[in-house]
Amino acid sequence: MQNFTLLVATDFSQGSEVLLKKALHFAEKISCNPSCCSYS
Amino acid sequence: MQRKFHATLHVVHILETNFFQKSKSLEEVKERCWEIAHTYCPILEKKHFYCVEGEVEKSINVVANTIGANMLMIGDNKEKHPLEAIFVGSDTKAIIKKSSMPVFVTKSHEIHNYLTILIPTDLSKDSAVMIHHIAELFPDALLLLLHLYSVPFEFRLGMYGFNELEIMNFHEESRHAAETQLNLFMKTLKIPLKQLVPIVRKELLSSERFEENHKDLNADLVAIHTTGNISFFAFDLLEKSKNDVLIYKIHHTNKVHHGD
Repeated sequence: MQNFTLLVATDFSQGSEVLLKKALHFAEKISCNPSCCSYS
Repeated sequence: MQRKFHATLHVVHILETNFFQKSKSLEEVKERCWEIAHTYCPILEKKHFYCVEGEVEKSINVVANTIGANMLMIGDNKEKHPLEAIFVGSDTKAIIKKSSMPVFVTKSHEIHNYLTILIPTDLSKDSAVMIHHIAELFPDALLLLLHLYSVPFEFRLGMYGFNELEIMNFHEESRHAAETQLNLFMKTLKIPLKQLVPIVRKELLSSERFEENHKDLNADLVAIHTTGNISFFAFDLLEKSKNDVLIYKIHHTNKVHHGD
């Protein structure tokens, strides 16, 4: 299993909430086991 | 299909301190930024939130390299107020140009599963590197490999004295050659053929009508690399696309980083 570090750059302008939600969804999607997907 | 990654999410916000009043301490601003980020993404841990001062594109790149990021995700800053866009100056293109890793630009507000990914390909080695990486990231997705071709001297064939049948044959030969090239290219990829959909279309590479011309493919993500013929097209397409766009800068001496 490979580590994959996703860095999200946000300027907190309009649409940032969507960006972070999409990033979270993407991280879960590419993870081998989304339920134990590590954010720590 | 089994996924191979163990994903970790990190968030960065760059503070351009010139625009802050001295009465507001930077620590206060950083704390406020963290609170907002945490509200938007409760699962995010504070140690993975970076609020740093500096020039936007340079600082993002420094953070990305420091943490060994495999991909950068950014929003489309078109949504900013025009004045804010000028002041903040975090130009999407500048961030991509500075980045040494693939950049995922979110353009749409919908959350997609990315099951259909459109990949314009020039059949180059760079394109192959990108396609392999995408196939690893999205093992459940159909990868639509779009190869565009043109018919040489198409609009002058009649003038050169070719008759209708000869012109038709010429068109057919061009199409056949493009199909053959794409099929040969696909065979060089170490990706199950059932994940790949070859598409050959007679068209010039143009960002103006790209989305309109290929909307029948219903892709929810467009992935492009930025070398060779695709380069100018990539940045132009990025501006006009309503779909999310994944951009790969492929360096011949520094192939796409897949992770540890």
